[in-house]
Amino acid sequence: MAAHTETVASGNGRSAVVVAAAIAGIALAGAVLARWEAGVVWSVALAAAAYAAALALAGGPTDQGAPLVAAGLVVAAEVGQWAVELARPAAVDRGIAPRRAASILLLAAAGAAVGSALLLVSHAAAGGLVLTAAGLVAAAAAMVLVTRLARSA
Amino acid sequence: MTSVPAAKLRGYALLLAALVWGAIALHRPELVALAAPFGLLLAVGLAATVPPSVAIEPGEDEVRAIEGDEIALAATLTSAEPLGRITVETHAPPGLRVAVPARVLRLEAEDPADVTFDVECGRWGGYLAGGMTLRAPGPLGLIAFEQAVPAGVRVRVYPRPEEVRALPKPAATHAGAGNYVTRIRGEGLEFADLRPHVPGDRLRQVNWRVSARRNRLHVNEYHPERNADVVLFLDSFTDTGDGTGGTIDLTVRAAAALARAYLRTRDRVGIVGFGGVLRWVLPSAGMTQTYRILDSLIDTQVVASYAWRDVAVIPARTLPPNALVLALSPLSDARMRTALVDLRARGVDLAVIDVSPLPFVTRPRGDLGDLAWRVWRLQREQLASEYRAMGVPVVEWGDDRTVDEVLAQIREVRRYARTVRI
Repeated sequence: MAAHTETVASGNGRSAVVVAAAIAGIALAGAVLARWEAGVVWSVALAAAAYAAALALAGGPTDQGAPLVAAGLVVAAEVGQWAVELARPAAVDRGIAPRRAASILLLAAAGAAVGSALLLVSHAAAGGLVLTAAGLVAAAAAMVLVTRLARSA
Repeated sequence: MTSVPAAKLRGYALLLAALVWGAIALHRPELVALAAPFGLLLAVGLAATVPPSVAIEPGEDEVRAIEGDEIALAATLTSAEPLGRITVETHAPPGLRVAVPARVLRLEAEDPADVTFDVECGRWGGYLAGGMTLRAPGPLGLIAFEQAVPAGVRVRVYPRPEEVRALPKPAATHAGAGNYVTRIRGEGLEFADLRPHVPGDRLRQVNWRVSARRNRLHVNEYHPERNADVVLFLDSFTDTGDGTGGTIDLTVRAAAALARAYLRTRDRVGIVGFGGVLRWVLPSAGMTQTYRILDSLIDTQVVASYAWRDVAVIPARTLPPNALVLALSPLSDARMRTALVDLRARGVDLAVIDVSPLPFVTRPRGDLGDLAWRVWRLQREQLASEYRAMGVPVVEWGDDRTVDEVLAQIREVRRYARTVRI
């Protein structure tokens, strides 16, 4: 993640972005060692923020590696939380770990596929006020859906 | 089961929102691609989450063990629907140790699964164990469902049996058959003497060899074997300990060893716990009494009380006449010290095992601390000599000797014991 962020970043704030990405990696390792589940998520959020900052500083064409970065972030977050769980002494039955690993990889692959599809759609569609408004409505709708699902669960 | 949102639910939702709004604000579609897996995870994870229904049935409701034993606490889980992952975590009370306190397993629908935890019994006592927490995360772990199972397994851990080779003999015995060869003459195995035959003597008692030699019938006389009453008088007013052990700990272990040993020799054994709470087990014999006493011993604890107590509060039946009373006490509490003097004054056959608190106390530093330590030791020695002057053997038991060694010293002092009133 940090390496890809470094390749994407350019301009004045490049070094700050790279440092932020590196800190995110260290924070992730620290959160795992400290068995801090929320810390894992915040470390991934910091890495995502560093990548977003790198994109903003670089400008220019769309980064085609973004879906892979997204898959990497999901894998890092999920594996980090798995590691936190494993730090507690527990006897785990056979078959559970491979299934969990498979579900994480499947989720990352599906997420990357959806991300790629969204990038393709964004290339095909022309920009403008209408599309921006539609994006805002879609974002708000997505948040409402997530909130309702969380409440019903 | 109660639902508990995982830490990642809020984190992923905030990340998703930040990335989507960031994509719109910065006009960077890559950020939407970055948010896509998290959105997918949230949507699928939350939509597929269904509260599970898991029934748990404990394996057994009572377990008996000896210190150091390993017992298995089992439970059977049954789920109405398949669960990809469920964590069962047990909570052991202090005194019991669980090597691996959690188990993660899969559950098929209506297919019972057995969960077993190996528990090491570290210290004697009565425990309520088997409390568990079931934690079943949703399909992608966004919501966890938890269920607490209260502790319902009664675990009774008895003190580890200690070897006692020889016991102090009671000064007086009973009419019941036992292992002590008495001084009186009657039916028994131990030869006592010969005497001329008198009408009423049984033919089997006739010593034909002696009768032939003396030209007159002579019969053998024997010492009968009798049993005795033994009362273990435990001091539960105070406990001096250092976390790894204490005087109550030693007292209970010694009492358990003595009770087992005396009951093996067919004596009637009773117990009196003299402390903030008065507890007793009436003297009796047999295997049932062993468990009665052990069950009583493992419930021994110090209950703080400042109320004055003396031997008048002890029911008369718990201290039968002619019983050997073995007191186990650190001699720290004035009520216990007075009670022992009272017992001796009533003519009770008494011996005191002084469970020394010295190994559990850190010697104070400095001149004043050193002086206080020496004064305390002198007071203890003075007290022991006062008891000895009353005819009560007092043997100090530190952590450097076994119960057997202490009992050997008591036996030596009591070799010619007689009960007298003072």
